[in-house]
Amino acid sequence: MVATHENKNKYKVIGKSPIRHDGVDKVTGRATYGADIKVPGLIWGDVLRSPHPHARILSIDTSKAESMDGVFAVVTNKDFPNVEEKEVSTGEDVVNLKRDQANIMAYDKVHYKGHVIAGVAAIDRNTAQEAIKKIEVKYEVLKHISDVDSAMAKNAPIILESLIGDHLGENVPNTNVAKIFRHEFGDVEQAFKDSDCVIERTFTMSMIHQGYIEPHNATAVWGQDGKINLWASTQGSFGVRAQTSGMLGIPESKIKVNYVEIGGGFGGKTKVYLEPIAALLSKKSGGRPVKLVMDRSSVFEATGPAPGGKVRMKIGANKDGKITAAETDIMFESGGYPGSAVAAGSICVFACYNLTNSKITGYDILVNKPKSAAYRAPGSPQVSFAIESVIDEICEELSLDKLQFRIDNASKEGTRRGDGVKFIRIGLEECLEAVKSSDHWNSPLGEAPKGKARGRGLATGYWMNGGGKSTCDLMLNDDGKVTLNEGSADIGGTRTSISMQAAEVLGIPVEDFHPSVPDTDSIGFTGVTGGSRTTYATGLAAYNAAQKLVEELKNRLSTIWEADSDQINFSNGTFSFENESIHIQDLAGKLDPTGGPATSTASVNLDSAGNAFGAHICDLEVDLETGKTDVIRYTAVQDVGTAVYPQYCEGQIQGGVVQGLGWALNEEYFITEDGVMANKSYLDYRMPTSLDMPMIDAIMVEVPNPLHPFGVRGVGEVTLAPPLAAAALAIKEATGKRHFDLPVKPGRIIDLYKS
Amino acid sequence: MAIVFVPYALRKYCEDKNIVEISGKTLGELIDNLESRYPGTKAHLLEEGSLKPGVAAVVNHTTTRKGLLEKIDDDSEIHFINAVSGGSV
Repeated sequence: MVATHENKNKYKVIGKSPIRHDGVDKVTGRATYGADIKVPGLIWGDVLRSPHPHARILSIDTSKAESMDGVFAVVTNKDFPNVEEKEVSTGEDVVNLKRDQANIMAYDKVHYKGHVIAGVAAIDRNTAQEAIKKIEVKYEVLKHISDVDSAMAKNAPIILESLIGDHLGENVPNTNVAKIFRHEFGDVEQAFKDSDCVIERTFTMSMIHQGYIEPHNATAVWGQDGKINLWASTQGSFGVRAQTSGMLGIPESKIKVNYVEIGGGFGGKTKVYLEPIAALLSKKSGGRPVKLVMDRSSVFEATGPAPGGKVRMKIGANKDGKITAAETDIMFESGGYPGSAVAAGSICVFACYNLTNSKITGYDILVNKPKSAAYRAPGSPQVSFAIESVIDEICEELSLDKLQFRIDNASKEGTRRGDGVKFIRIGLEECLEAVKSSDHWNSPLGEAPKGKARGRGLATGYWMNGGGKSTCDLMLNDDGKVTLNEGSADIGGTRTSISMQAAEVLGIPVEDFHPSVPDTDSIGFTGVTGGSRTTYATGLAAYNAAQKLVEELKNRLSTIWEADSDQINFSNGTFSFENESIHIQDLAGKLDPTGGPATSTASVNLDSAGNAFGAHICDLEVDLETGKTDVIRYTAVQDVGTAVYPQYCEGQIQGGVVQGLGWALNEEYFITEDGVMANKSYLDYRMPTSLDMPMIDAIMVEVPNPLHPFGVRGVGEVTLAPPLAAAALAIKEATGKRHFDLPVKPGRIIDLYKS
Repeated sequence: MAIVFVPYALRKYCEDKNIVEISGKTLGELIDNLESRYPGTKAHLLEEGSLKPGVAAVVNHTTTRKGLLEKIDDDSEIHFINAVSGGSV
């Protein structure tokens, strides 16, 4: 359902949902994924992983593995070049190459169970697996840390001994807290004193995984000319190129990353794990192509999950329904190396509310778990759970309407986020008004069956969206069709949503576009498909390329029509001048005398992207005997800017809600006392399936983004922010008990309900 | 003059102010002028002549991609925040 706030009938292509260009290949199984890659002479790689969550490596003996028949190469961290331990920019990301190297292959210590210690290349996969078992490692097992409190405790074992923490601008050695930062505005203390009601709660949440279907994989060929050819499942080929280049000390121009389809990423495929190892194994194997494919347990144990941690939240409000002050401490587990989503979480935490007195303190904390990575609106779901839960309690305490309270305190254009940055035109108020008028909000919960109870939760969420660098090339072929090349990995059908923007400009049906994602040698730099940036930023590159193509064609026509190009009009795909007119697709075959093929290219490097807000309603039923929960109705309202491809928007919203409900109700890294993950398979890591979910209604509010000519906003991430609180608050309404720990699983529900 | 929202960690260099007014036609010039008025600030913002990899400069509502070349107007407001990339600090 689309609730349009501004007229978009002016568009002919935007706002439709045509058959996606990659659809046939994907539903027929013809699409090529990383693990499908077959190169002549291909051999297999595998890696040895640490059985301990925290240990010093005393020695590694690879001799028995190296002497095995069929083994071509063994690599350890010693095979990597020495790089400086400092933060550097890769053009779209800030990385610490030394730590990233150590994360993909440990050099003196293992920081988490599953940490890679050595790699092997062999004639086949079985031989590689057998060779791995022959590598002998001596460890000094160290005390491990599994949570933020233990990591910050006095005399806690230090995980990364070279770390100098940045604590509010002070350098602090011997710490597991990599960073403490703060945003503070107004007089928070006084405002709390002046409040009619102050609620303070502490929330905990477990590390969880994105749960993409396709495991990580990489195939590499280190050519005799010193160039590296790579295939990998990634959200960004250029990111793979930059990280591999940095870790191996090879110029980016000597690395080509070939695009293959990707079976999900959700932020977890923005970092490399196998690619540099595959390249080194290929080099040591005499240039043979080497392929590595992770199994599921390795994906869980040693890629980049979303951080768990702890959030302290304190909110003050007055009886008239206005928030007076807000204060939070956000403590995120970064995993085995620094760099959690706490900075993003700190931007998101108060973004839905118009505050004048606020204080946010963020903590980035090392624990002996895999190094965390991005997951769909990184950091926002955790903090949304905390603030929305306290807002709900404030409303209850002051007997205020939960929806009206959010409307009365909602951020709008000119409101400052918690980090001080002012919003441009945003659509939170419109989302909340859409909730107010929705069928769901105005329908009763209905009576629960005997032994069950029902509740309804409401929550909002925010994600800032991303801009960055993107490139798009267009070629108008003689037959009037358009070849479009763009650099963004296509995860959600973005070939089509990007093509639609060029099609809108050119007046050519999008079905006449042939979009492709080429390798990194064949398209300009394009950032990762993440941050809800692709349809916005790469789409804008396509828009600009189309505008350039129109100008080029006007120049060509000026020769044919003997007119100045600025006298030629272009509208709805047709060029006209005085009594002459021609459609762009008819012109395509007549260009040879004017200079040959018409092409254009455009690159952008965009500043911020226009913000995204959502407001969700969750109806849920709890079995009061077992604690089992069933979501019985769910409505997600979201400002999507302009829905370029409404079915995609709906799908993104629904997908994010399902992931959020999994996070809320079941999913967790269940870490044993030994510091290892006990549930490292999909049998035990309980993600929701279609059988668990009702139809999720998506109400798309369209408040056009002023930063994009079509009003496009990123859509894919904010949808994950509200479900955690929406579900937990529905459980509260059903059972009368508030939950402060995620996941709100059956055992916790029953324990609290019966207490 | 432009308004600079002083990051919490730099307030100790800026007489504990959270907002200061600084002139400058570009972000680079503004940071130089900030350093002249409040010594010690520049080292927290710049490294080898560029914004530090972990620092993002927001001019008005947008995170600048032009770095120190970003043009500053008299009514601009500038924030220095943690760079967010790939979901990390």
